[in-house]
Amino acid sequence: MADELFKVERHGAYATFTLNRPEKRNSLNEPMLKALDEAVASVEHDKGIRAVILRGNGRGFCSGIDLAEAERLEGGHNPVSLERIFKRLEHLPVPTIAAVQGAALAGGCELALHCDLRVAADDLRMGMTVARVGLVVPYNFIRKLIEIIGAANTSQILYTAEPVDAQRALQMGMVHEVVPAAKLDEAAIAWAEKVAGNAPLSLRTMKKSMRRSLDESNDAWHEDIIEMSRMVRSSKDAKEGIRAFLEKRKPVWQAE
Amino acid sequence: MADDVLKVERHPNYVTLILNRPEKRNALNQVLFQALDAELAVIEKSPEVRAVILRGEGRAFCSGIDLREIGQIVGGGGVTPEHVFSRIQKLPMPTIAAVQGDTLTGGLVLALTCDLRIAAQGARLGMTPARIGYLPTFPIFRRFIETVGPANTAEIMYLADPLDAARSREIGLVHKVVPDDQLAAAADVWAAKIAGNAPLSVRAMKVSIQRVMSKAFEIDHKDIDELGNKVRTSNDAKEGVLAFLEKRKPVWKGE
Repeated sequence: MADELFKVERHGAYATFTLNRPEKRNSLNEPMLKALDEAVASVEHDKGIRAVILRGNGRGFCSGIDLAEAERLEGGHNPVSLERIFKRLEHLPVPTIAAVQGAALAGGCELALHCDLRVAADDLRMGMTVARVGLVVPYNFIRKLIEIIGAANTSQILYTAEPVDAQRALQMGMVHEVVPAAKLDEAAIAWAEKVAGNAPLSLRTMKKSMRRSLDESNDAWHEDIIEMSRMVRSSKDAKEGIRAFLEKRKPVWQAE
Repeated sequence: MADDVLKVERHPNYVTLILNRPEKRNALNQVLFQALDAELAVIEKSPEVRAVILRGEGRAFCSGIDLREIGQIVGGGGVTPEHVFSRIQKLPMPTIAAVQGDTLTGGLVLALTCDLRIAAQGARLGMTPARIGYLPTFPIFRRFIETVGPANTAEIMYLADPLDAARSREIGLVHKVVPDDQLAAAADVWAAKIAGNAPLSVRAMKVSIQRVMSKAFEIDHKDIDELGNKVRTSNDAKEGVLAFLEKRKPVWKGE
């Protein structure tokens, strides 16, 4: 189907997931997240798949959650919670490769970070623009940023809410390789084939070792922060921020 | 003796250990592990040694564990690689690896057990176990993540493609890159510099860094060790080693 919001293709030993809502810069709505969840589930126990590419159709990789649906998707109570699905993606037993171009912002940036490897087009703009609209980044997503680019870079990305370009992303270690935009798919496929050509049991156990090593050093207590986040998400500022974004005007903050 | 697999050069305040199997790209075999272990035991108890350089004779630093002996080395009752790696890591004085040419798998792990790494421009650093169906141990993953972070560790492990010296410098896998013919001299300069600093300060600093990192080494990973043993004894691993020795592409079955 040409109008599928999310496509899954198998190519021999690897699978390609494609976000396919280019007219909305692949912003994530509920059906797309459900489809991503199902796609991840479908390869979890598929011994024939040895790598996964995650890409976005059109000019941008993914501009984050569709703010028109933000309230429903963010809460964490919702079964289609971003955190739960991204965590599932992160724990997929095979290596995952994000191919990112154009805008990879907020939820789109996190989606790419929850993959193991990132290949970027030279027109990439990657960042966490959440503070601009008065929303908050879940604890686990901040942990993810720190895991990949360290605390100092995470501060810059979060507090300035300014996206970085491909070269800066490469310097920070946010992406592994930068290629001309026209060569992005080719580069991602080359990586997938290389990975899929390695020994599958080695790869799976390597990934498990990496996740264990990271997860257990990162399971700090953070109930209070979850509570704080709930407050921010339901604040007047958050409502104002989303409304201002949708109305394409500057928000007025009241800190409440 | 010119045919010693490990040469030892004693300088006034530091020691240089030289892997000396150039015809085998300094692949680590049982004799070499034993020689390293014996020498480390001496250095541990030598307060006058303030730095240790580890380097390799010939065109390569070290191509890893000698696959011809991997069965005996990994499964056998002799001096295990883990034991030697851990012993280097715990040496009380700073250690410097000077790497050139192939610095692969066990060779790269060996370099990572050192505190500092200088690379020659032509060095190729990588972890190739995924190509032959093998698997590094859990502490090796810790060491990589500690040094270059999880994202770079993922690239190095999953792609199994060696990085050149410049890229290694970018991600922090090595501290410094020098022209090939200046490698030994650069390592000597660093060793002399360290040896010239206050020895008690330096030893206490090393203990501090080790302690900060120590919690991470307490993470329970017995189940992953089991899994690792299954991978290492799998049909794929046998096939991988065989294909490597026969210089052909392996056929994976995922079992």
